[in-house]
Amino acid sequence: MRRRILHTQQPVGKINVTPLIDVVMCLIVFYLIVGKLAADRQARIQLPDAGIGAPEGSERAIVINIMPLDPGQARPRILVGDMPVAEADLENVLKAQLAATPGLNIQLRADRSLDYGAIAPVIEACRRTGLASVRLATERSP
Amino acid sequence: MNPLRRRNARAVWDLHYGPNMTPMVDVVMVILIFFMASASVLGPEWFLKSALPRAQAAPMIDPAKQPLRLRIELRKEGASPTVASIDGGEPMPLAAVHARLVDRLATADGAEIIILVAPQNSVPYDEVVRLHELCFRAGIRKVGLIEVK
Repeated sequence: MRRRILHTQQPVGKINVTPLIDVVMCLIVFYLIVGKLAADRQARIQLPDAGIGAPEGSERAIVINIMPLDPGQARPRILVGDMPVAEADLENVLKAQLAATPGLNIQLRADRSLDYGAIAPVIEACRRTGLASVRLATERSP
Repeated sequence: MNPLRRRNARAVWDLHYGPNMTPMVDVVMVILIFFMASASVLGPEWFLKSALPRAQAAPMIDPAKQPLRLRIELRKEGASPTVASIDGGEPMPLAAVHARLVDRLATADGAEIIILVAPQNSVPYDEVVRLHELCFRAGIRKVGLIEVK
């Protein structure tokens, strides 16, 4: 039986990068969507302006987000990182996180439209936790 | 075309062996633009450090080196603008606090000044942050939030 010999017109050794590009494009689209969702979540908080302050350090921090009030809402939603936390549970959540990772800072990202009355319980929870300070997040103004 | 055929330099160049870099450059450019755009849209954040002092016995230190503690109360009644009162003094607009603090620093004779901010619940959070900013601008580095008694 004669063996069939396949002749190809393509030069051998050329790397086909098309699948690689496909995968990379999929990854980019994925990260774009995730980034957009994360940005949308954060964009809802309008931080107060400040012309002075310190940039974010390299040290790790617990981020407390206090969202603006929705219509008809009496108390703002509090998120520790991305996790919604009730005002009454905040102290325990902070204590648990600080016990797991001692030395963490607190970054307080609160909406500028809120009254201090909405922030005060969070400040008091931080105080009761034993923290010496919090960092108030602001938007850099010229 | 036989790939093992001998060719001249032009023919070898035309075959162009090796990976095509163009799509990779495209991808890298897209990533670069994405990060540049997100950095400019989100914007950088500043942080103002605010202490959380607790009521406790003052440490025994030389009275001459005692820091000067100023309590600034922020009040807001109805639609009227927020006013500040330093150590129970005359209420003043927030904008006037900076000049008053600079005066106090000049007459403090080198003593450290600690500002204790006591905002009422009705005061906008924006104004509390603004008072922190005014203190830092005046050169006071220790600012804390305390409860209104």
